[in-house]
Amino acid sequence: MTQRVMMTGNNAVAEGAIASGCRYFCGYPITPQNDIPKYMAEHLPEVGGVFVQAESELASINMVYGAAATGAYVMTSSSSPGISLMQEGLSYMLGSELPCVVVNMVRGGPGLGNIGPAQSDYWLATRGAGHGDGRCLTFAPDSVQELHDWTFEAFGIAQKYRAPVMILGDALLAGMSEPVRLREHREPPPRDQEWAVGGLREGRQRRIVNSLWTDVEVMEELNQRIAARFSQARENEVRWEEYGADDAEIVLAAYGISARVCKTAIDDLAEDGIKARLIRPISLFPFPVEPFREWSERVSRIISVELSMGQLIEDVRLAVEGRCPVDLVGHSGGVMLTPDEVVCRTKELL
Amino acid sequence: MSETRAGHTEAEALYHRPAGLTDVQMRYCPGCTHGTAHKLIAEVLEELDIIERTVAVATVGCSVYAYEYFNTDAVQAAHGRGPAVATGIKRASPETIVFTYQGDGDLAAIGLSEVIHSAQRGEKMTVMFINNAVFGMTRGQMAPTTLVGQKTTTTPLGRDPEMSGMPMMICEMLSTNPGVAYLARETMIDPKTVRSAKRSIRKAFQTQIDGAGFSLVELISTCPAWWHKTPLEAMQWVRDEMLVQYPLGVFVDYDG
Amino acid sequence: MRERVFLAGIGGQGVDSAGSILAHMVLQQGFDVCNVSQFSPEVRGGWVSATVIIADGEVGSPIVGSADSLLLFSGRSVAHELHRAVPDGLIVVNSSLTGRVAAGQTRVIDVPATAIAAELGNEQVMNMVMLGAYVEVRGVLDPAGFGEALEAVLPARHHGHIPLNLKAVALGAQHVEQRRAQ
Repeated sequence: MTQRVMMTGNNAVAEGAIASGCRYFCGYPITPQNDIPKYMAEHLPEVGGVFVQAESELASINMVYGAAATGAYVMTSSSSPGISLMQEGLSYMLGSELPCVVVNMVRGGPGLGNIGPAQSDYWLATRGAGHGDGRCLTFAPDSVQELHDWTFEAFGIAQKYRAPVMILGDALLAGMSEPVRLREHREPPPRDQEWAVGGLREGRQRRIVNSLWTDVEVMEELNQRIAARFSQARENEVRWEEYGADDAEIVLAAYGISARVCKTAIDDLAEDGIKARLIRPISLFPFPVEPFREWSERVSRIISVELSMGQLIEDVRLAVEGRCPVDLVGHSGGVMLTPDEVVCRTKELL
Repeated sequence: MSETRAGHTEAEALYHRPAGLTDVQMRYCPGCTHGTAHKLIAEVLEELDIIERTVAVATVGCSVYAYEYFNTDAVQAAHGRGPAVATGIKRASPETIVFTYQGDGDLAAIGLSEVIHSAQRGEKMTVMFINNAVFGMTRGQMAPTTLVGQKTTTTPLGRDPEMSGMPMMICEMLSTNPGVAYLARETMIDPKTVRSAKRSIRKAFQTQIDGAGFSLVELISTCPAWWHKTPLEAMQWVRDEMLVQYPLGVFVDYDG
Repeated sequence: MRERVFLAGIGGQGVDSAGSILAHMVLQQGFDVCNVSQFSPEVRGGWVSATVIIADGEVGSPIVGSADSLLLFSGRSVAHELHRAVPDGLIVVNSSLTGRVAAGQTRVIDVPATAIAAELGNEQVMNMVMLGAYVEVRGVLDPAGFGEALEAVLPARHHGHIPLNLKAVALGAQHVEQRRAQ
């Protein structure tokens, strides 16, 4: 076992990508994720990789599209307003069945917002890959170690489902330092996908990466193919963590940084004799329906604790299907939740 | 005569479809010069023996199906983003020859930023820029390159500089950009200009093969449909109007 | 055990590096740790804070409303951050810049850290005087870890300054000991 080192969330993401075999990064500056491109610009050339600072997030995601079309492991990172701009490219990648990894260190919004921690891109991440009938597979780590690990894993998942994978963090996770056990570097895999363009054809059939199908039946077939992959992801990629009392009377639903706040709140509630349990979705799409279904029959209510004005709560309610009430404890616009506040609000709602 | 000067028999083909093109029948209007541009590019790819290492980046506009016509690997890009996509391909696969095929709406309107910054970075790619002064596929709206006074569906009284500015001079703009290694404006309205266009296209691809930097050829093209002209009138209009606004020539030549 | 340490000061006082050095020591000494630095938007002269959480289990929330120990480097940080102290908490203040601080129920340790650093010939090591005093008075961490932490945090070009930094740590600790003796 390697020793653990202190690292920021941003650096752990970047190092996780390089360790995974990512050799291409295109990005545009935006706070609070600037340490990711900084790390990539410094360390990618050391492993024969390429860093390109693009002129915009539109260009970033389209450079990613081009590099992905060659079968390479490629990544970009940004924060909320930049991810809005990338929606077009994400839609084209989904339509062209291309894999990539996109990191969103969410900040306060809407609009220019601010650089405080927020989770208000939940819908953008889990519903949007731009226009059309698809979305990003989305994973939400809650520690610097998990940011490292999930970024490492994301490349393989993206290849498996031929779709963009989003790693959803926030301004706080991006900048905070925690101990990380680093992954060993692996070589970039061979670009032997049957769809990859470029290189020397040497007599093979020419290949086309495309999302234009004017024959509506062919277009529907593409959408059915994408939907089938998402069904497969629902079978294989659903991840969640549970924390707290096995005989809880109330459940907190939270992901990412909010889940960290909830863990402390649950410990504090336990000291006051209140048995609470956290269900932390790690995969946001596909969403972990099962633990919510199960716990909704055992507790008086579920509280969705999130840094948004009620986004996660919609998926929780869909999973619960009315079996118990679901309430919201939320902040937004860069305002952070504290464990004390979660404790207070939980007691009020109980 | 049973023998030609070159020694061919009558049964032999003197003219054939270049290997750089597929057998797919192109969907361009009569009198449109897209077909000529495609043929010239395909001939150059064949002559430089780079068909098997080329990726064409098709964009959005009348040439949206370019990926069906060029006998190469191809990637379809979002509207205007061709040069960014080409950047990604070239950086991730430097041995590949990459070219974008873009109209004036795609390159000079929605994709201006991408083309200028790709040039600025000196990306080793080739851009084929088709300028026919109008949006064709979307049915005849004003393009950035529409001439003053030219009627389009969105300039029904003719382009008025007070309302919609002056035509955009892409080659003149890019000619000051240090990342550009080869830059030329050509047209394809008679055998002489066709031969000259082919020379520039060939030079542009050679620039990329030599790794000298960014190359772009602007091809002043026709759109009989949205110019409301016959093919012959359209050719004449290029000569009389377009070439006055857009003078032909080589603007940058890295080894010239 | 869960010790929440909150460091605050103004840009350039070494709050951020003090937080990083402390976090490294915590990790080296077998605890779990989380370090959150926060800055005002201006690159020079704004406010800076670092929250270092020391835990023998899972850290849990990296954001805390209140802190068990406060290290306040400047007058402004006293004015704005004093409220974070828990009733039986510890406050270490840089009395060179803050003057006397009203104690209430909390335990206040005045350390003339800027003056001590100036005596060493470099006011920049004020942050290490503060850390030395904190580690001495709290007794959670072994001060022997400072050398290794400094090596890990400081860029190699600054490793020549490590002896000076260790001296500053020692003087901070010494100040606390002297006050104890009084």
